[in-house]
Amino acid sequence: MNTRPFRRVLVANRGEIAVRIVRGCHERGLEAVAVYSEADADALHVRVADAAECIGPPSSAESYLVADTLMDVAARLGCDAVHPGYGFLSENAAFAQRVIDAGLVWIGPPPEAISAMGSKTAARQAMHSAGVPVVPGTLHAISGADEALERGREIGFPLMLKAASGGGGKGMRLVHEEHELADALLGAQSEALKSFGDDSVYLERAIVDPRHVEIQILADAHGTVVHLFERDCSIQRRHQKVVEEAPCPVLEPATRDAMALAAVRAARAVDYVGAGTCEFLLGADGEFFFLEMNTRLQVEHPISECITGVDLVQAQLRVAAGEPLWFTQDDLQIHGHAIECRIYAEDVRNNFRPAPGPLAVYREPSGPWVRVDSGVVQGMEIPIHYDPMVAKLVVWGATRDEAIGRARRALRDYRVVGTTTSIPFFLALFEDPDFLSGQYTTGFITPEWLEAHMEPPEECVERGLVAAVITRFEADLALDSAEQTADVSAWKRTARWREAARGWR
Amino acid sequence: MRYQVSIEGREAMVDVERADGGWRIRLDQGPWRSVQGRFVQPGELRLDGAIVGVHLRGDEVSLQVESHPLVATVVDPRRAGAEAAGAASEGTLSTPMPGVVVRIPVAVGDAVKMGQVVIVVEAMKMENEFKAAHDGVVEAIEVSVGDTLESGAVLARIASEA
Repeated sequence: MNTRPFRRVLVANRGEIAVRIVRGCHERGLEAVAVYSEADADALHVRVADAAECIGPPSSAESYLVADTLMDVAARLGCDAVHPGYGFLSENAAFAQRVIDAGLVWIGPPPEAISAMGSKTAARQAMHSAGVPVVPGTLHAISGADEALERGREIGFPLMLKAASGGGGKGMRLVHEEHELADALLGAQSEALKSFGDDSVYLERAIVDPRHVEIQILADAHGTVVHLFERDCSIQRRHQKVVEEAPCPVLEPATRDAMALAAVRAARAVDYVGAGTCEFLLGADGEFFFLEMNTRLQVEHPISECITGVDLVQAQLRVAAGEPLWFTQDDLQIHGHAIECRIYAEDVRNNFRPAPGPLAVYREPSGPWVRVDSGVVQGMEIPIHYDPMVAKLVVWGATRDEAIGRARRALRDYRVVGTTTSIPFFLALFEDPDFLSGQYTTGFITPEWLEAHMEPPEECVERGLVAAVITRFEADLALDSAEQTADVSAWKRTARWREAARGWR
Repeated sequence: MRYQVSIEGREAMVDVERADGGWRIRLDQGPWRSVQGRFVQPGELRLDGAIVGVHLRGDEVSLQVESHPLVATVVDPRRAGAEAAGAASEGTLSTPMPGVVVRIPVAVGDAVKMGQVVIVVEAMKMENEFKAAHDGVVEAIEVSVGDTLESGAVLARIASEA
């Protein structure tokens, strides 16, 4: 593993995580170089970095995913390390190897660990060998419909077909009955081939109504592996997390210990170095199964930082520089409770459809133990080319109730105008008795729940109607008066009224 | 001033005038009511004590009312005539958000059934399928695969069968 001190980090990412990494570098006295596509020229991550280079047109495939350009920028700007963030090339073993071969420090796990966990079937085999419980199913890709039927009968229905090279919910099919299997297999294989270039599909028993609980792992290059406890990420839509909390409100201490042990064992099995996460499915009976390991920093890492006091990006930088971890497992304790809300530019009432738009007014909440990780600023337009994340709102409280109360207050203080965001979803969630009691699973968000909870009150609609008319009225007045006079001061007044009426932009 | 307002499925003809301390308003020629308030800063309007976030773009006002994101259309009936005439008819498919056309599984002249996918637009890593609202024939396809679209762009027109 090539770890050694470095001074100048290429931040190969964008948005909130790029900002996070740049800040982390600065806190360690390191320099940070940002890269940006044409759509991100005015982005926050570009502004906070020490240097920045444009790497291509808006589409990720032509910019953030082009290894050649990234390596070229690193070389020309004298970077001696690369931090890949999450998504993009962070779990691309070939890219990691290329960085290392070029003599730069890769701020992430060894390429072999990335490969081992990147193939879901290889990961299952490795975990099975290491004695980590995996979701019952096949350890290899299945050869065809006949084998699928035979193994399916052994494993039991409902069955989940999954792409061996997959992720993000693609190449997955839920099969309830035998007669659906052949068609589902063809569908999964075709989608897997299209999305990942590999049509290998394996089978898992579909765990009914599970909770998604994951363990944060941290390992140095000197053989120490610790865990930073768990995160419950069960509130999801389209297999994507929207709310995470730490610790899991229903986890028995014995189960926590067993899961953490399994996660550490998994990390050791692949000689892991750096920050990583072991994802598990937790059944209602307390049984848990390894799902997959993410060999990178995750979106929801802040809540683990809040309950342990460990800055994970700092840890990544220190580990990559060859330092041993400066604390032991015994030094780590769960302190209080943290919750994260992923705020997306989307229309919750329209099936969470992305709703890009301008951030005409944008003011983040603040106050004690309120943290907002974002890559946006007022005046920006949310680009359509990437996922529509606005920000991560993270709160900590001494108890879960206190954290929830703080989250409610922060959400109410959050000003966003010009773009539809999912803020009202969280406000409704934090009133829901099942969420408040901690009793929820990945099946929580249903169309019925959304319909029942997401209607704006009549009183708000009326106020909106009045506000809209006044806004338009004042803007038209300003326009009319400017058109009527050539008076310079009238233009100035117009400009102020225009701004007032139209928001900034 | 008179405006036609549409918000959350509600429609109203609204008259508004400046008045002492703010404005006065009446809906559908009902009684006038006074509204106290002012713009406290760009994009923030205080009305009867509460702040509403507002942003005007064309005929659309984006709002934030007590954390609820709402969108209202406010049209000046005198100026809207020309636009209204060309406004979307039942058979017109248009996209409410920007994106890139990735698939057009039909061709001009094809017969389509209600619910059949006509155009697929990718936005934010999600594929959005635009479907025929009724049985008919594809009369026109206004975009090509690979086109980058703005919100409101017309995608296709389906002529309904007589």
